[in-house]
Amino acid sequence: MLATFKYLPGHSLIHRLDPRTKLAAFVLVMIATIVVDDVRVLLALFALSFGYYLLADLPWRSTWKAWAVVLFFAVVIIGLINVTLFGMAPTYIKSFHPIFSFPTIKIGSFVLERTVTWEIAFVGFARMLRPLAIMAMILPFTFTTDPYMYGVAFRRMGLSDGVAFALDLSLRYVPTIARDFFTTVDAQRARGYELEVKGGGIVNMIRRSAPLIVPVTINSIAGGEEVVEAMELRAFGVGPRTWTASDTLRFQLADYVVMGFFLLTLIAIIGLRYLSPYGPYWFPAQWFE
Amino acid sequence: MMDKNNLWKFGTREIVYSAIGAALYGVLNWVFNNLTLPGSTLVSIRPPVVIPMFMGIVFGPWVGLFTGFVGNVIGDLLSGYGFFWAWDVGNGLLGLIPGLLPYVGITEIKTGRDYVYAIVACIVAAFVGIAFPALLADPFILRNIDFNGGLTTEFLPAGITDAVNGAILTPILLYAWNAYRARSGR
Repeated sequence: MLATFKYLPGHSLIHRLDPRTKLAAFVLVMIATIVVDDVRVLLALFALSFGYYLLADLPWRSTWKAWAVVLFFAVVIIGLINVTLFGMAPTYIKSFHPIFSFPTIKIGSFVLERTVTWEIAFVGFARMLRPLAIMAMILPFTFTTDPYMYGVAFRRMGLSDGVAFALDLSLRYVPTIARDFFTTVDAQRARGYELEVKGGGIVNMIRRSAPLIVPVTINSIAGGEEVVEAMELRAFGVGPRTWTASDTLRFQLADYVVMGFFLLTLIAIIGLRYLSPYGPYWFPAQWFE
Repeated sequence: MMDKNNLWKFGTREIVYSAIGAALYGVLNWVFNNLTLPGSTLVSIRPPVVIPMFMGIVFGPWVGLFTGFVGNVIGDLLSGYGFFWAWDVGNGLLGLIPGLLPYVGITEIKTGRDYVYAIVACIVAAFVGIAFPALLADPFILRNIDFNGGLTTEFLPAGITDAVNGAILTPILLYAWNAYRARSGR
């Protein structure tokens, strides 16, 4: 098994954007999803985010797993479990349109009743749209940005040399550590080791992971000492580090357009939230009369 | 291990061990991601959570924080899961909190009492680390789940799993580390 990042080189508009622009767009949309509970606004925001995702021209076979995870979270965890069991309509909503009620549970004087209403369902729809909009913004970043540019991008965003270099170095260590791990797995298997034993239980499974985790960890740390010495011999940290790839990062017109577009979207949503009479939440009571 | 005076130092040694820790945590997360716990949300049985805890104890809170945060990002990048910043911060806390052991006078893990402190620090880190995304970020910052929902579907399954992982594997890893140090003279 090869440890490879899911970066997909390409020539789409999103591929050509500066990594800092993609991060800024993601942060702006994430803030926009937080400020409202209005399903219409969040639906429009999701449509915008999904349009941005489509511009990245990413193949479905590469992104389906991320969508499956976020759909499971949105539909099962938020929609089916959280909204039905714990969801509440905003306190200022006085209407009550029931969908269904759970059977009443009585234990002595303790009575547990729960009715799921359309008012709660609309809170749930809004909540389900949030992670979907965020995922549509972050996938283009992770799939269209070369991981080896992360260090440079973060350095240019004001992170210290040390942290940016640590980030860069960690990505470069991945193939080596993955190779060492699978060598260890093969060596342990040759000695008759098995991770999953029938009827072992979770605690036993955790305990049995030690023969894989311990040698790889100690071996990696032992090798690190030589890297520290080599870096110190080359006077690492004495002066500012030169980032050769730094020159390739420059904002183009498209970067300003994308950042400006999402900034205006955020401002419009904040305006709708605070200046319009609709408030943060919307419930079409007339649909259910 | 670190002493209280240079606990927050981030020099060459910390940079290299942060990078190693993050890569290690990312790769192990990616490998162990397929061991999913039934009935929980995005929570896997994750023995690798021991890595940020161990790195925090041995190399200090910054290394633990970096290992947890960046390692979780790398694991998600390798798995193709996207980016969940609140969980990345939570994983960072898993490494940072055990790194604060010198504040309670534990600068070396040698005696049985030191191991007990290390285990308690890992359990506290597991619950505090998971509380950030499950009880704070998801219900109040990202607002995609209710507090009770976060408590039952995220905090309890993930917190208990991480605490059990940390309590079982951290002493094993620390013991192996001490043996290695004694043998190599480092």
